[in-house]
Amino acid sequence: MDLSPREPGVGAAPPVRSSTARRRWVSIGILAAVIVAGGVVVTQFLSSAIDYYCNVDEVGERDGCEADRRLRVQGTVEQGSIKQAAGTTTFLISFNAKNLDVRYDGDPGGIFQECIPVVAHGRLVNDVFLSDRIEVKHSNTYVAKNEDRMDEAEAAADACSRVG
Amino acid sequence: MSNAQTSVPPPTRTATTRNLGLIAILGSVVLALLGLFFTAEDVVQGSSVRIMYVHVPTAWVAYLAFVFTAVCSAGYLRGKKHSLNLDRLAGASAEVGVIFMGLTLVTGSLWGRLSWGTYWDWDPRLTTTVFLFVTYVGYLAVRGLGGTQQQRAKRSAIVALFAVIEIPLVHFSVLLWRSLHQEATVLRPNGDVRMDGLMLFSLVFGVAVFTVIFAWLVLHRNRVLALVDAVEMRGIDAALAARHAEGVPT
Amino acid sequence: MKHADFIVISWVLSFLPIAFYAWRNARRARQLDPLVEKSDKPWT
Repeated sequence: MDLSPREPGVGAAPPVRSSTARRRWVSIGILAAVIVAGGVVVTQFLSSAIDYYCNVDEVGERDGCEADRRLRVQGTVEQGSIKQAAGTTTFLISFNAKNLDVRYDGDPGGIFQECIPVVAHGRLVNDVFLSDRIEVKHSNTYVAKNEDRMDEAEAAADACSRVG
Repeated sequence: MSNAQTSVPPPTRTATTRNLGLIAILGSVVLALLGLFFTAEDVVQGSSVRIMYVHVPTAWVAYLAFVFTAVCSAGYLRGKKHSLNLDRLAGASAEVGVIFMGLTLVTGSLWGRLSWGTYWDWDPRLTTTVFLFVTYVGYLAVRGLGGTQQQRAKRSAIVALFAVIEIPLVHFSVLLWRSLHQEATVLRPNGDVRMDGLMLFSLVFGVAVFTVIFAWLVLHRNRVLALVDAVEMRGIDAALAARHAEGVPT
Repeated sequence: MKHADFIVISWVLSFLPIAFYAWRNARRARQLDPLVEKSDKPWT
């Protein structure tokens, strides 16, 4: 049986019915957008997110880490290797006793420092990794600053040994 | 609505929700004091670790909300009465979960800019989290597709039971795939928590506060959804009565 | 933006949407209240 109101303005029914109809179309629109967004996310997941990076020792060794393609390389910044000159930062990252020279035009953001693992995005050219994006991959360990800690040097050494 | 009406307590308030609301506000203030002032900075991350005290609780409570939605949905499907109240609880919980998941993404993005140096990247954790978020936005849209209240309840309960499977995928994404996001610090499989005392306390306290906020919001929202359903039913009842009065055969 | 701004913004952005949602919800409840009977509110 048809329950739709015949005349506009019968009791409390009309505003409710019209608002549910509008809500229905809004929902269909959102659902369509959700399906598109879900497709984009899955595509990104399959193309980028799985195996987000290669470790330094895998460059040129592992499948998908070929030296001639654009790479994301993960390694720990070697102590004392950071040099900054003329707007360019160079440093050495290492993983599993293998080293890689990295050159980055600019000052890496985040909490970039020595003894911290980073992911460098870029290409390998003449054994130097030319990077246009540095991401700092900090650990899941949290240590309060200045608590039972003697000096900066000890903290730095401790940081290196923690991530290493 | 006029301002005068906002001084009247909302019709969804009970003693329980009022107390929960008070605890939520008080807890939030204490959490802010702990997170922004009393806890120390992290050795590596500095003060950006302070974002953790809102980022992690919102993420956990979003998980909790989605699991609660699934539990209520299962209860609805299994129960003989097919309780619409369970369906509305599921819906309310999913709404709050979507908000909290959105907050997780926003605070995580800001934290990422500070510590990684980027607002966003298609890393396994971030990608699966945004997928979970999008899924539950879709769930809420499914709830609004219309039909009778029982149709809505059944349809969305089935969606909820499928959607909840994504949660372990999100949580363990940092272990399953190589990720820029750090691994879990507290919810680790081996139980070895690597965090300093007051930091850990503040984090757990934050989870407790956001859980209270969640309960408070869900109770109110559940009641509002009950009012919405009641108004809809009354509209149908009124239409039915009008047809009967006109002598239309049913 | 300075470092501290990020932290303050992330905290504000965490609580503002929650407050807004709660406020909107209460407003909706007040709007609907006159349209229902007491029997529709089993919690009262």
